[in-house]
Amino acid sequence: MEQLLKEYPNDLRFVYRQFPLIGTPESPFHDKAALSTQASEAAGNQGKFWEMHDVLFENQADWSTLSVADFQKWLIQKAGELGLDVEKFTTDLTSEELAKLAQNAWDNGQKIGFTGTPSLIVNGQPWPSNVEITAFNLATIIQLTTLEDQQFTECPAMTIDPTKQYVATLHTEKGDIVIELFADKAPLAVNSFIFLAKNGWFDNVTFHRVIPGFVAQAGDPSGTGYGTPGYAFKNEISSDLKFDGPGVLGMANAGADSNGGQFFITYAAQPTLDGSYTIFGKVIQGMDVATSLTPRDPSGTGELPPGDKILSVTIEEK
Amino acid sequence: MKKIFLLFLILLTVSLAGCKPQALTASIPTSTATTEARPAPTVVLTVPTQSAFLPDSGCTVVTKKPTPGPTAESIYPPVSDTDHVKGPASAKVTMIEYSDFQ
Repeated sequence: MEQLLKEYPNDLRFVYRQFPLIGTPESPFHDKAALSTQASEAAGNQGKFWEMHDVLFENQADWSTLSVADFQKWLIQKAGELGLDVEKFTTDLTSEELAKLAQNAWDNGQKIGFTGTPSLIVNGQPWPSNVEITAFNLATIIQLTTLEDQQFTECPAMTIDPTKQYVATLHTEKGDIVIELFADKAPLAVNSFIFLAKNGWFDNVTFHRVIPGFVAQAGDPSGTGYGTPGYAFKNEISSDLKFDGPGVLGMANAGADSNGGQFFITYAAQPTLDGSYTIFGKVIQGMDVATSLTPRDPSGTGELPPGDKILSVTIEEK
Repeated sequence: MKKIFLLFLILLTVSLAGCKPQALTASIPTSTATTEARPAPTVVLTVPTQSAFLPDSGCTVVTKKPTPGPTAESIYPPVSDTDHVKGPASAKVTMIEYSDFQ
């Protein structure tokens, strides 16, 4: 979470709420849940909630097996190490006020109906129990939520003339890639691409998925591979157009008729893609630029290199 | 939020463990990957709910309802002065963690 807060200083707010698993007097659950909660709040009374929060989590193995009495001593020692007023901390630690706070926190959590900890709420919605809470998944959510500001609430109006010729130039960090668009074969895809280009959708967007021998894919400002412009249009398959070599421009999709803003350029013939993906153009210049794009695969494991950005896309009408 | 839930559905990663926040490491779930490299977004997310009923224009809006903002009404109390908070109030994403130290 610290890392995410650093990466998204403007877009992420993190709130910690106590849900000590106290249990009932008849069947207590975590014997030191209440005291650890009280310790963090007692430290919070002196402005060091997060410091105690970190100490508790980082040293869990050290204290989880202690008796409650020994844990209390351990906490007081840590309070001293954190530079707290130990006398005040000791008093607050077992104060009626904080004991009540911990009990209320347990009661409230019960009322809400949490089934375990930690329970994560993202913009008012519970995190689904079948999804692992990882930094990667959390970052994906943040990126997609911020993308919503850019998304369109209407489909683009049909503004192109399918009898005309359109040439798009992707100005990338590695140079220009010039693409002839097939307005007659794939009017929806070309119209959308031109609409997005003119609205700056592609500006500063990374080629997020570049797989040598396969394709280079871009068009998702979130960089996650999940991002859409807010609308979806149907596949346009022409029997005379095939992914028959390098430089074929196709629309990426997440199933039939889910085309949005993501597109790809083939690096070689990809006959397995024929029929499932709209072909709407071909590279006529700058294929060397396309092949020089930094390889990266967001669906793989490990660190991702930054990738190369599209600076802007300009459209020429002939 | 519907969109994000679609993401969740498709992510279908390992079940939520009762883990502590230290588990929030930078691991990358391999299961988010499709088994075969396709030009599609690496994970299916955005299939419009009415994809079979695309209007004559051949296009449909998929963001009908914006994701609730950080202050949206919910059964969880809004962020208040008594909360322990990091990050700006103006953030687009608010994550509230209910947790036990033990």
